[in-house]
Amino acid sequence: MVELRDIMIIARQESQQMRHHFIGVEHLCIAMLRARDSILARTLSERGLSVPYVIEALRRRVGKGGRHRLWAGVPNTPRVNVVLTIAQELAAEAGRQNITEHDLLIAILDEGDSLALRVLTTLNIDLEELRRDILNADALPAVQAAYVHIELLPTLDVTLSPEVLFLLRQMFSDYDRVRVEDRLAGGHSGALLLLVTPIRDGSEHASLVVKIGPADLILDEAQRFERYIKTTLPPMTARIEERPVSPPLTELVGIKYTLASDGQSAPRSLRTIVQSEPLDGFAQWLRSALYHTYAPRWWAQRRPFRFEAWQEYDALLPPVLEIDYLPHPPADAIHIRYPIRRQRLTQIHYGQTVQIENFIVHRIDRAAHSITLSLGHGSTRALQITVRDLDLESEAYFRGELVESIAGRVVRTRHDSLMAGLAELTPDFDPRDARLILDQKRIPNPFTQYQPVLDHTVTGSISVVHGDLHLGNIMLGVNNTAMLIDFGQSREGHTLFDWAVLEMSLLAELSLPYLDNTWDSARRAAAELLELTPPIIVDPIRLELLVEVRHIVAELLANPKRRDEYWVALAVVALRASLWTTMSVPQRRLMVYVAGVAIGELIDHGAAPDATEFSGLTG
Amino acid sequence: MTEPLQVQIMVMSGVDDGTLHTFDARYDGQPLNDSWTLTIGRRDDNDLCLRGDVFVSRQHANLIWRGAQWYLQDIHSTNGTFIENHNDLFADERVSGTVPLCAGQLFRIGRTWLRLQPLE
Repeated sequence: MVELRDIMIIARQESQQMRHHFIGVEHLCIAMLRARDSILARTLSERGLSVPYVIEALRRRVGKGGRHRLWAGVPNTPRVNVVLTIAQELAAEAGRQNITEHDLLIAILDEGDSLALRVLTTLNIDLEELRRDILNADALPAVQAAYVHIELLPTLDVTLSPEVLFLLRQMFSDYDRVRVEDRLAGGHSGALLLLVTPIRDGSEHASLVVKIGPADLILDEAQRFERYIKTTLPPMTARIEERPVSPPLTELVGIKYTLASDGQSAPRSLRTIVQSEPLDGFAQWLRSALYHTYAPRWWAQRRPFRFEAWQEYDALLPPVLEIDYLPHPPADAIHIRYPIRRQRLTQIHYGQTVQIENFIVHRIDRAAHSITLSLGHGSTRALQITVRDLDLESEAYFRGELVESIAGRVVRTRHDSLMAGLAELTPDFDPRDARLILDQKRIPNPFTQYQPVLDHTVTGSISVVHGDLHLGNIMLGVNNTAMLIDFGQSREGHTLFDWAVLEMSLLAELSLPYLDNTWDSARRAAAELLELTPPIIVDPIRLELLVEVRHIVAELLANPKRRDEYWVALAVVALRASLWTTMSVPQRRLMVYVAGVAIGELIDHGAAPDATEFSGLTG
Repeated sequence: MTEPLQVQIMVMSGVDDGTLHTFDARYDGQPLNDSWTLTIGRRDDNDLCLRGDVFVSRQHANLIWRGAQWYLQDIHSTNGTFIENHNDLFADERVSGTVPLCAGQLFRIGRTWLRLQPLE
């Protein structure tokens, strides 16, 4: 049984980390959630609410304190004193000398008016049920999932960590066995995506996709799903059915995507199909199954959206700056705050000190002791700056938090990151060259010539977008329905972004048979796949898929004469892909050319509408 | 005349969480004909002074009683005035200008949550 003394110690730590310097009901609740074997963690977990999620919700609700301490000591709030009085009475009635977690929880429920309880209510916790469970808490089993066998298909080259196995057992505690069928390519997020079939009493249930990753990543995905996707999905598709699951005291959280399925054949990803099967008819499938299923509530919404490219796309490129944290910045530090002169940012170089004001915490990387800040909330999360060398133990940061001021010394600029990425693709050309040669034409070197793309003003449309529509996230289910998974980047944003990602992903996969270890092969494949030259080595059926994507894009353009809307998206998406270490070097080289071609089109034709065909790819 | 003689504001977060402030039109704020204005801010001369929150501006917001209805007015505060969004914990609604406020509704001045108490 956890006692008040232990709860208070953790509550003080929490208050310190949040720079609050007082003890409120929210600190008591977070302390109880963090305490080992606590009733609160157990009862909330049983309702499918993960501990990190509830902690984050509580922290966000109250926000973080300022730099300056305005009073001495760590006083209790008046509300906490009321709660403690009630708890003391409860303990005395039960003949206990000391207040326990049990008394404290009932006292918080009796007091009944704290923000912490409002947060639980908003998370759909029934407080009366919670009270019953707490009163019966001694009868509750310790957190110990029934033993579920996890089998891996022998053909599968995957090892699962004990933590992941533990989480899987908890997620499928109603089943006897779980068979892991496949590991789906998880893109760049570092999360694990598994296709699994749960089995109970010898009968196999419908396969589903499980995503396991760090808490803040998965919880963010669950929130995005609630906010943008849930209400706009067609009926027969993949969806997140349950709340995220995490055992108390782990950093990992898992969610399930249930797939519409007949329980007979396991769904396959479009990436698997493109890699291994003949592709006849798939161009048609892209339109009829994928586009027509999702377009009415998503891409075809076509609300006008005029934006500067950097606002929407800057976040896809490496951080504009990486800095090492300085607790006491010198007086001559360069201030970075809204409104931003982006020109100025590109002139900052290694070794200078900067002071960043009013940026939002976008990502927290505990392993790397770093956080990434960006300008603005939600989808406008442009101008990312990574702050390294932070002591995340003594000071809490949480996603979405506004950081009033933080300073550091520049250790890496975007230009450095891009050049480092390009260096992995050499030898064979000089990265400082302003232009590359493709099919006897000169095209811009995207690594040095991307700035005009970000400066471009786009007249486009906004809609719900999937946010990461690569082939691995498109699944084929019963009757070849299109099912999308992985809503970790879903948002309202530039409509054509999804299609640029799909084209990039198609190019990367379709080119594979034609790529060897030379720049020449990448050059040739790019020229043929982008239809700058007639196909000689490339199978025309493969081209049909790309042509279909461009047809759909042409229909989605806000102004059919203004293709720059698409070139902006494709240029940034391809440039980003050329830096991905999860992609092979030959594929990354291909992406350099794709980005170069897109930037070239933008510079040549971007400013004014032109009547030429939409590259060769209009068929 | 439905003019309330008294109004109570409950502090819902921060170091003073749980404190109830009672205001009376006869002694507090600026009564004017049938309207009544209470000021909120960090400086001592506000009717409701929030000393413990550095995110509160010196003069941050006004609570206005007019035509039998309470209104919340943000006066160009640095860190904003917000109203609780029941559907989304992470998206409080920022107040710009003057908006109606119901008793029982939570609103946030800087980082401090407050509530207009329902009248008995």
